[in-house]
Amino acid sequence: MPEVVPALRALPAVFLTLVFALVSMRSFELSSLITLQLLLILHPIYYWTLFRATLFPAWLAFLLGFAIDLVAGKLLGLNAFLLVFASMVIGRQRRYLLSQPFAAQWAGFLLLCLAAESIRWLIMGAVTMTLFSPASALTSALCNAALYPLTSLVMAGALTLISPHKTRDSL
Amino acid sequence: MPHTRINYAAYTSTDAAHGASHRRISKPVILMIAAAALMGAHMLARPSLDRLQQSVFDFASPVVNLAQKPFDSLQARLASLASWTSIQKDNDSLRAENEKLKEWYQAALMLQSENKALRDLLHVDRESAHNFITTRVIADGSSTYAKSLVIEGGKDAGVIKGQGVISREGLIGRVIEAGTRTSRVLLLQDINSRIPVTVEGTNQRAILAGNNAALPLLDHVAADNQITSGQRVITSGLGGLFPFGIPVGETQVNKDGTIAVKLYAAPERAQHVQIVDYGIKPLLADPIFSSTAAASEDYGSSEPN
Repeated sequence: MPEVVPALRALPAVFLTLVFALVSMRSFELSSLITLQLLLILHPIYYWTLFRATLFPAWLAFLLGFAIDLVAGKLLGLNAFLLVFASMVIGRQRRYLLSQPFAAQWAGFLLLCLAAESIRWLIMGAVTMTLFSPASALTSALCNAALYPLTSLVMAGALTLISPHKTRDSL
Repeated sequence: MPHTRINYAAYTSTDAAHGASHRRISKPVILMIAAAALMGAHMLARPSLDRLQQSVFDFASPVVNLAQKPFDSLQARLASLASWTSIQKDNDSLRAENEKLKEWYQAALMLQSENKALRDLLHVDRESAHNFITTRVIADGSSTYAKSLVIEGGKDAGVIKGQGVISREGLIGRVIEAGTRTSRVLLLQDINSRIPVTVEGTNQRAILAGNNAALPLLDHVAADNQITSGQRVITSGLGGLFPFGIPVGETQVNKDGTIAVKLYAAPERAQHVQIVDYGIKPLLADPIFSSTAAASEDYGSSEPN
């Protein structure tokens, strides 16, 4: 079988990341009190920073966050800040998280979601001088984290394409 | 006890990218400072940056819409799932409402005919008719912190900043940014929304102030107001922002004395909306006010969403 160019093998990962970025721009009205705005872009950032850090450097997280802010009409710099923050935190805990079983990595992702939502809640509260109800932020963080087993499965498939000769466990 | 060993050798190069070296760590910190500076810049130079965002959305909207199409049906399913819990209650209330509406329909026909006869008798000039630009909602920009919609149609279609936007049921908001092909609508629930309204039956004027919750509040209401729950709230037409009489919602007096308004329109379910072309340039439109921040000087503060 002919060898596929490495750059082409990374295409599914890039495509997945873009899809997550696009979905991060929209919200889901769960009830009149709770609006879910899932920061789905945290999924690829977390996963790639853990398993392929070179695929997702901090500057790329910044650019992606900036692009989301620009297209979605959000406060410019907010998502850029959150994504760089996430990239930095995961990068620092990478060695530890890699040595842990999946459940612990999932818990790590939950903490990351909670931290990112808290920062967003605080910044938006400060910018608008309003004390927002934390219910939506908390629900968004929990729902976002709940999706991780599913999204990590999809991204594991993309990772296998990038590194066809290595299984995820051997990483 | 067996312990899973991880082959860290495979990470030698990647760990270097996020290693403990201070030289490396400083990069994300610099980027975070840059992001914070961007936020500050957006706060300070909001008009031009808002326009930039709208232009980018004009350009990117086909791709964004295509990518979000599958999630629109997911949103609809979520909404229908949520409504299942109250289906019996909703059914009962709709039956009661329907009975009431039948009575009102007859009353309205009678009043319409009486109104026409009196107008003819007094030779009252008809108020100028409003034109409507009917368009489609293409993106829901609402979040926990802001309530907005993106609609098709911009300056090319005659949309200008400040125009009112209504759905079948009533007012939903106003245009805050008109791009070339798309426009952004600030919903009544948004914390920055301030709309001059009148409570029917009391002649009480007030400002409908958004609070990012489902029920916006009536602000600047006289202390000795006679408002009770269930009274109709309509636009007052003051300030030239909207024509008089667009239905907004019904009052709901809270236990703490504040008056909330249960809106007639549900923007999260709206697929098509109408932009009210009042025939005169709204006071908030360009070039009189060139920014949302400036626009809100009359009707409250404005912050980025």
